[in-house]
Amino acid sequence: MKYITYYDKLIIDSLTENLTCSKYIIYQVILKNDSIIISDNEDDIATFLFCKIGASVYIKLITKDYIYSTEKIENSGIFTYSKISQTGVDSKENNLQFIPPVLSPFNSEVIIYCDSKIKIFYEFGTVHLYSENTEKYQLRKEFRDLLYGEVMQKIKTFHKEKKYCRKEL
Amino acid sequence: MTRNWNENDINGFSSYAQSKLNEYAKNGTKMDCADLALSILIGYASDNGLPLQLTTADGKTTFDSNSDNFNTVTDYQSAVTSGISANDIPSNTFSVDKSDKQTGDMILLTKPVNHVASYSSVNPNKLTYGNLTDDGVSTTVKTTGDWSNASTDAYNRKIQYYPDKKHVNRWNVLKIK
Repeated sequence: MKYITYYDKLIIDSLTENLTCSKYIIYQVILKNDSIIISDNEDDIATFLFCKIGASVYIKLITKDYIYSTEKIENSGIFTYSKISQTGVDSKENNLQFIPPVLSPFNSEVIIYCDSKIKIFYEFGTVHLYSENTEKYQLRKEFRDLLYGEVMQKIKTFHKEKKYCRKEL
Repeated sequence: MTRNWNENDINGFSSYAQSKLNEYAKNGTKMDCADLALSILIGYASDNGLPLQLTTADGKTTFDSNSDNFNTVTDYQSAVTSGISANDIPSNTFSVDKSDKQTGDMILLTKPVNHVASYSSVNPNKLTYGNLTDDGVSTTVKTTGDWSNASTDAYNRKIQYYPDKKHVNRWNVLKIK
């Protein structure tokens, strides 16, 4: 994870630093007309940033052209999900001869979790950077469904806050 | 063989490669990196009745599609994919400035491992490639964003590009005189 980059990493790094998040989750998907779809259209990549600030959880949306508003999520369950550390890619799955240093949500969804102790990631859908252990699928789906549910709950509330120009990887 | 390669094949191969790379990635085809690149070249040549001569890096073995050793395209493809690896591909390609790249052009790596990835899209740039596990098992063909400017891989191992970061590689048969 330490050496892997992803779309919007620079702005995410800057936002998490400015917001002083103790923990954050990145949920990167392809978003079309407020729906998460399976596609490889780079223009429709959407990055949702979940931040834990104090006891509250906030969500922010970044698309190719805009940074959207920060919305508070009431009663969020994502940062209290106890099995989060088990969802990440483990050393057994890291068995490909070449692993490029980039995560892309093409035909998949990218999930990254960071706190002061751990930094983990996994892909949901088509897995690009590792050989998937199918035994971890259910756990990964459970956590992904939590993220998906919270995104869908807030998707209509975001408003454009700032112009943004996404750079290629 | 029904004709020779001509300048129309530069664009023809590019379109064919784009379509096939996307098809393989979508279908979850399992292939290693060199076999993917070779299969696309052989598929285009076969569909268009074009000759191919592919050689190993040491120059000792040439796979000639017109040779009597091969009765079918499958025979030829099987021999080529068994005999040509990622480290042999530079011997069969020439360099093109990255700003002139087209789909089907390849990024070749010599470190941390010998590897081939093909452009399945330009603007936006996407790379499609096959892979192997540490046990030598082929994995599904993947498409990612363009990582060809990266200096290190996901393990922070140095990436060495052939010939360098500023160039892509195109099959020699597309060097039309």
